[in-house]
Amino acid sequence: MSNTEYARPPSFEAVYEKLFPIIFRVSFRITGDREIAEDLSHEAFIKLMERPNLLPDLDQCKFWLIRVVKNLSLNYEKRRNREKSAFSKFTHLTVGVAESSEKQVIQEETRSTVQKALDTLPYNLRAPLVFREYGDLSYKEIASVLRISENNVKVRIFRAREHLGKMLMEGDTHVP
Amino acid sequence: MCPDRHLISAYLDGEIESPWDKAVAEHLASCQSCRLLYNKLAEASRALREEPLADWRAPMERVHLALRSRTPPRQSQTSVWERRVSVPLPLAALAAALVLFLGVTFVATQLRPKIGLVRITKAPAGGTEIQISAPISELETLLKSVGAEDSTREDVILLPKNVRLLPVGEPRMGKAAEFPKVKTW
Repeated sequence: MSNTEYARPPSFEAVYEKLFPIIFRVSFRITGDREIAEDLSHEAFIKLMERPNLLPDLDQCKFWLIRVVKNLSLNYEKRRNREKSAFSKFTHLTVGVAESSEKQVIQEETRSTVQKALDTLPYNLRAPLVFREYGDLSYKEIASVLRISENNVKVRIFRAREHLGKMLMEGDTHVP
Repeated sequence: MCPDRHLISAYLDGEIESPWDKAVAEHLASCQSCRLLYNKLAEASRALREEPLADWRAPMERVHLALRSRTPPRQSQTSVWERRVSVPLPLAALAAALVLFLGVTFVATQLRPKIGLVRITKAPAGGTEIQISAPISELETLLKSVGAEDSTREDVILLPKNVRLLPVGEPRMGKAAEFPKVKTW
């Protein structure tokens, strides 16, 4: 996507057409849940609609949307961790509720090996890698989205890839 | 000496700047362990990118429908009136002063002849003397404006004598008497 392709700001429809697949993919890979990904993408595009002025080109729209997705997914991540810890506390006390629900079992089965491996990465490694591989953001842009240094982005992406490579080669995607 | 392992990952992303990327490439060609690492990282990257994402069309349609029902999509261009313009303060002050000056001169030049049209002075004898100086084309309107200064005004319209006026329709009072229960007005 070049900046010179659009002399004036692209319309909302054009932005949606081009960027929804990317935003949905980024949301899905970062949360690992299709429904949550749909909700996040929906909310991100509502926020884009509600912006008082249009962004000059597609690249900036993508960057802006990914920034929104980052905030939303971080909120989701925090909530999920809270729920997980509350749940594990609860299962320590009572026996019998440890079995996961039917929906969870189905989700677990339909998730791909790659997605399972991604889910084992901590958020701070997963987010930069997903933004790089699925959002096609530069290190500079990722640094700006995550408010970390470019050097930190480099290190995190390396660690994420190293971990992921190990997981995929071993074929061990057991989630602890 | 092998470069930092992070650099190999950054090299994969094309994030190493010009003189250094060649150095990394040369090193990768000569060092087997670094090449192995590079291949492993590239494999992880490829696995992610090639991972198919099934069924993104359905969410795309659903969200699109929801967004459309929410508000009509905005115009692609902001209206001229909504556009923000930033002007440096000294320039804005200068412009405001200029507008004020031009406005005042315009009003002064436009009003002066009209003010000068009529001069009403009280004569020492008790009467009122009205001096009118105006071009003849404007005299009529001028007289009208002088006449409008009176607080009341009476106009009499004389009709021709042999005119016959026909009552058209029924008067409201009559209708009201006929249909007292139906109130349509």
